Amino acid sequence: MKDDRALDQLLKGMAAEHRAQLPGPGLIWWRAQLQKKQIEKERIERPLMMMRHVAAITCGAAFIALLAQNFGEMQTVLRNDSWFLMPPLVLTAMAAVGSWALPLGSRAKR
Amino acid sequence: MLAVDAAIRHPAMTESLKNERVSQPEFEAFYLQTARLLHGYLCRLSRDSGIADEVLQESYIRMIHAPPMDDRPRKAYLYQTATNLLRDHWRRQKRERENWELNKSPKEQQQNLNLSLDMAAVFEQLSAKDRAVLWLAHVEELSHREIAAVLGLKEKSLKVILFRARDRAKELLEQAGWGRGHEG
Repeated sequence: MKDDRALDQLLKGMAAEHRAQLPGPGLIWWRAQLQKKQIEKERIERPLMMMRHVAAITCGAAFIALLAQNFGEMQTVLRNDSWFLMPPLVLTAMAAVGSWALPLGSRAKR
Repeated sequence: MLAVDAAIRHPAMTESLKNERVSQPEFEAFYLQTARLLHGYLCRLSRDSGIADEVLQESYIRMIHAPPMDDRPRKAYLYQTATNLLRDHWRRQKRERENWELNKSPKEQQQNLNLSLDMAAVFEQLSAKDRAVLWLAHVEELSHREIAAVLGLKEKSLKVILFRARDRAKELLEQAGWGRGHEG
């Protein structure tokens, strides 16, 4: 068995014998289009996600600033059990939590 | 399982999506022309038809997203992608060296494939690298340069690897009795 041509024929013969149940080209094309849409969606959503993160960080910073500025008053209010009189603080805290939770929620859905 | 998600987030792929790509009829014609042999190559290389199916689909998807090219370089690109995906799969399983360099063919894996032919049985005894080189050179008839690019080797070393792979295959065929009675 010295001949390269004989080896060539044997290998070609082996390859010709291969039978397989392959998916149709339409299915692969469809999967490729799905991937393409997914990538485009992510590309479009990227600035939006960035803005959400920026908003969350801004709200968080505002919350901490408010907390620091009004710490003395807050203690007095809390001692009197009337914390609900601090709407700006509560609203800022809710906005911060909401801004963090929204992107996380949309990621979990995927 | 191959991570399709990883492919989605591949930066090169994201970049290539901005360019013009292959049309659907062009892709379908190319697929029908090449898929059976690529599947055969992947089955012989991986010894697992399930992995071969996954790698085959992922390779064609990447090819669809790749920049436009002629049929011959496209075929080389396809084989290169498929080989790399398979090697990535082995790497994730930390079995690359075992599969690529060494000749390890567990009996249970061999039973998954139809090995009635003597040549197929002999082919199974070669290392994955030898199998890949022989397939690409003889079945796909790629040039040395193309094979070297597909397998990530230097052209000079490819020639040596191919020569040795042929020798090993012939030796195994002789051991199987090919030179003596049923050659041809």
